[in-house]
Amino acid sequence: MRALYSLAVLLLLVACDQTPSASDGASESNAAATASQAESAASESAVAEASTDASAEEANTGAENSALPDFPHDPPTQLVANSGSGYTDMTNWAPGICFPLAQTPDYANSQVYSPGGDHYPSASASSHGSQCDSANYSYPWHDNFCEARNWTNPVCQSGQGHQGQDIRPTACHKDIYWAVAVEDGTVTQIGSYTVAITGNAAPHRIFRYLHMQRASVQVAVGDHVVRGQKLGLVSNNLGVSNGVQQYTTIHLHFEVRVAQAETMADGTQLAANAFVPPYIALVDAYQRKLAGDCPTVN
Amino acid sequence: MSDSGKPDRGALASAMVGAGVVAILLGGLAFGVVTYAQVKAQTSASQVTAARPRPVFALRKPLPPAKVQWSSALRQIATQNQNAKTQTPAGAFAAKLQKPALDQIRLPVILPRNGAAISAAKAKLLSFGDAYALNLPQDQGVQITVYGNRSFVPADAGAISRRPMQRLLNVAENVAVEQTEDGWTATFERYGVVYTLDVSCDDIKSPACASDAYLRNAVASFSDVTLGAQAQAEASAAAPQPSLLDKLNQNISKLAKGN
Repeated sequence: MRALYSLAVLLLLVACDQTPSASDGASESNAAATASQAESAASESAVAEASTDASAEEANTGAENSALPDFPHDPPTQLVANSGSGYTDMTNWAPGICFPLAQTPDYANSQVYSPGGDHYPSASASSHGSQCDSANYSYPWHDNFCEARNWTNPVCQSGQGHQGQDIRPTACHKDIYWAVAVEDGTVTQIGSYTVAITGNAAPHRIFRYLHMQRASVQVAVGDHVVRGQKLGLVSNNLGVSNGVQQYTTIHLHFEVRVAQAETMADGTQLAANAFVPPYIALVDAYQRKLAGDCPTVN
Repeated sequence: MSDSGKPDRGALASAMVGAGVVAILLGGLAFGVVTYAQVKAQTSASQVTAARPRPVFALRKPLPPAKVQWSSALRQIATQNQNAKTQTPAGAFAAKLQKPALDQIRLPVILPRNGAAISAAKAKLLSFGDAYALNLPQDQGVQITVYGNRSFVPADAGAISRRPMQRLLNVAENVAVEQTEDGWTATFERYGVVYTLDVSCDDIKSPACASDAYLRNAVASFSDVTLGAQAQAEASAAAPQPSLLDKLNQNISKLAKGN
């Protein structure tokens, strides 16, 4: 009988141990990650198998083969219907980066083709819903690199499109959620709502964060930053126009640029800098974040 | 039950305790389920689920640092020095940059030519060794940021060769010009290095960002170049050494002149 009581108490303690702290987003994620990892041990071998099938020029290896908590997300390159021509590049252009937001959950999706966006389908020409609609703060994630825009983007099939990935923070509140450095790097530009950092390590990627709250930015040009270091709060700033503050939805626009070289038939190289799709790197970073990677650094 | 058909007190007590334990167990399990549900809800309906086979994506390792065409950079510097005899010294802008950073950069650092309307008053030069950034805040919320980089990642066939490029006035190289969320960017290759010039504006409708004209002028103005200590050393090491025949010719020439 004592054994039964002990078992009952043990079960209760185990259950209590899974209770996340309501005030700590990271521990919430970790708890969920632990739970999901427990469920997923069986799929590890499948992961390894999938990785050995790589036909890419170089496959993900090492830690990336291990099982990480998954979350609902559309595959890369799959845009919201009728939101643009998309792209085909399936490269992880920034492997190993931290996820650019400190707290989870976060929601990568379209600002324009979702509720509250100018192109969200609705019966009314003037009202397109609310940016705080629960649909915007739910999984699955949606890729929105190359979403229809007028900006030149040679990676997009149409030659034009969105140059980064939009990410909504945990909830529809501005100036609360921290954006963090994705790599060890140096701050190379700060605008009224932008922060750019350049990675210390080759290939010295340029990462830009847009729509930040300027007053909250904790770094200056020339500052060295480490992975997970707080940069500033995610807001809805869009600069000014004729002296009047402009706003967008509450989100982080995150973009990555990489210097690239194309080898020609005669052996010569052509080189240029280019925006690259961040979605694959972000999914990977988010999964690692859910498993406890990249603790926030003040 | 006892043989008499009456409930046995001992057995009843055991049954009650057993039922209690089962209740506790079920309660514990139920609590556990609720807790897990809470976890799922608080990670935000997170629907964080078991891992599934992860798709495999391509990775692209950076290539070794590209060779810089030092001789071209040195020729440009010689031209600048020649012009300096009649104009403001070409090093005036360079003198405003942070020398420790400049000396660590293993690249030609491009600068605005004399007379260009680009302020270096708040210039910040940042070294990454094989890359650098030069942030140049201008008036009225306009910023120019120049990046130089010789650490490349392999690109797909056509990614650059089929990219739309433009010829800009007074610029020798083809330049890719693109509008961004907060301004304009240009990228081009010079001396074997990729240079990127961003113009960003607090007011996207301000004259500097309303069109690409300001960016084009800025790119055209960045025709000068300077080398820090490490770049100088690398340029010297890369300079062709005179052959034995060259040395013999030099000696003969000296002898002929009576030196």
